Amino acid sequence: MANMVELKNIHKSFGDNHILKGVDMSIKKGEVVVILGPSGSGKTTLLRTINFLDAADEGSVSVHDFTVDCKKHSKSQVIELRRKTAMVFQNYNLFQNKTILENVMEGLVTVKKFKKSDAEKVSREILAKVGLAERCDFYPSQLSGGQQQRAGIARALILDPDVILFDEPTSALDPELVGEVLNTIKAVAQTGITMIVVTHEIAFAKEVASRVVFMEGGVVVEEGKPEEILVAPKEPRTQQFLRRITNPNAAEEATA
Amino acid sequence: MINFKFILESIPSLIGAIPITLLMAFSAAIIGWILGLGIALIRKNKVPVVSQICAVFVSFMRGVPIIILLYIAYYALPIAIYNYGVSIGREIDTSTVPAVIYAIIALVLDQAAYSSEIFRSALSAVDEGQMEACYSVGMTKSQALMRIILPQAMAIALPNLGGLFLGLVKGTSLAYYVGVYEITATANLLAMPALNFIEAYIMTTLIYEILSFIFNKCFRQVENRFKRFRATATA
Repeated sequence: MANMVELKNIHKSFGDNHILKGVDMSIKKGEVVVILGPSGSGKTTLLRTINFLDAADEGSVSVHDFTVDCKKHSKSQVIELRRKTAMVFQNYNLFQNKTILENVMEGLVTVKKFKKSDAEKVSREILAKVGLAERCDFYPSQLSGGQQQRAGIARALILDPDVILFDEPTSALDPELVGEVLNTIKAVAQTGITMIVVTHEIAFAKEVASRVVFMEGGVVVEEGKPEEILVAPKEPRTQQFLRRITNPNAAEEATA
Repeated sequence: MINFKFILESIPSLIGAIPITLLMAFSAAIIGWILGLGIALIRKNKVPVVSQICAVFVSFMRGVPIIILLYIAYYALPIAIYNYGVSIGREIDTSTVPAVIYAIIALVLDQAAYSSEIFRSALSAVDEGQMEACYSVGMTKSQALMRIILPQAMAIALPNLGGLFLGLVKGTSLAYYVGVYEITATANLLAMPALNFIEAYIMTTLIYEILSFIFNKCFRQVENRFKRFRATATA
């Protein structure tokens, strides 16, 4: 089977700060890849190089057999690539001046050139699926974080992308709202769509991921099935990270 | 004593001068703000060369008193145009151009400079994540600007634009010095024969106050429309 997403030798620096040091990744259709790693390891940056929100300095990005060279790319290539992907943001980034319904419709109307009435119909359906049927005419500022993030997921889903990129989708949420968003993402994962998820939710990764990638210092340290990486990691750095994240107190003692 | 008879008699002429004041204010605001928005976008996107030229223009315009701008537009511009005409072998007659046109030109430049700073800060105040979200669904930059970024920036800019507009309405009174018979000039003219200056200025003040009040209300209305998405009520 052809790879849905293929990253080759991705390098990215911000000034003197070399964030990504040659990352390669192949993701098959329908895979749910969860990227873990300590903060500053470059996982969010890697996600953002896939849809060129941050253009990598070197390497190439392919989505569904459409390849863009990171060094020399045209605006139209980038737009084409972005239209094959969709993203769910840490801070939701819903269009503040649009209602929830308009947020979901926006891409269909402006990018996919749907008729407004058609776009509205499918948008209402998808909002019902994420449990926001009653909230269609609210503005983002009127909703809770969890509701906003579910709307963000609907906005990404409706575009029927080849891959959805989740950038720490629950990190900005109040703890009691994390569950509803994770459940929504789980439901999305079951539809067989290709997903790349950057998260700190280990339990979620165990349950949903078809593959876990552990990154540190701008490189992929270890990757494999969730039961391998999360239960019996081979690399000491992965072990250390998991120990710290599952038992913060023990980690403190160890470093003290 | 205050001459009430004069006040009553002067009302029709003063009201008759309001349209020319409004003509200057509205045309300067509409043209100037469009230019200002253009300058703001150019500077925000750091368009090479043009961006620097705009920066110099804004800095220069903000340093010049409006009255000097008016004098330059009224006295120097016709000479410049005439000389340019001569240089291409044609005699351009600028004497038929009404003074109000020069006043509008000066005010447009002033408004362009000041509004560009308001638009620039408003554009910067829109969360960067909004643009990223536009890109993530595959929108082009211009689609993002027109549909998402500018509507939000306008909501932020409007209170300041309202203040700028009130300043502009009052600023049009300076056009008196280049011979435009707007409200202030008319009041002066009426006051002169019998030295009814106090009465004339009381009336002028009143008219400007009323205009300011009305425009302030209008801006509030528009502002609320633009801000409707910022409702704080939680569902």
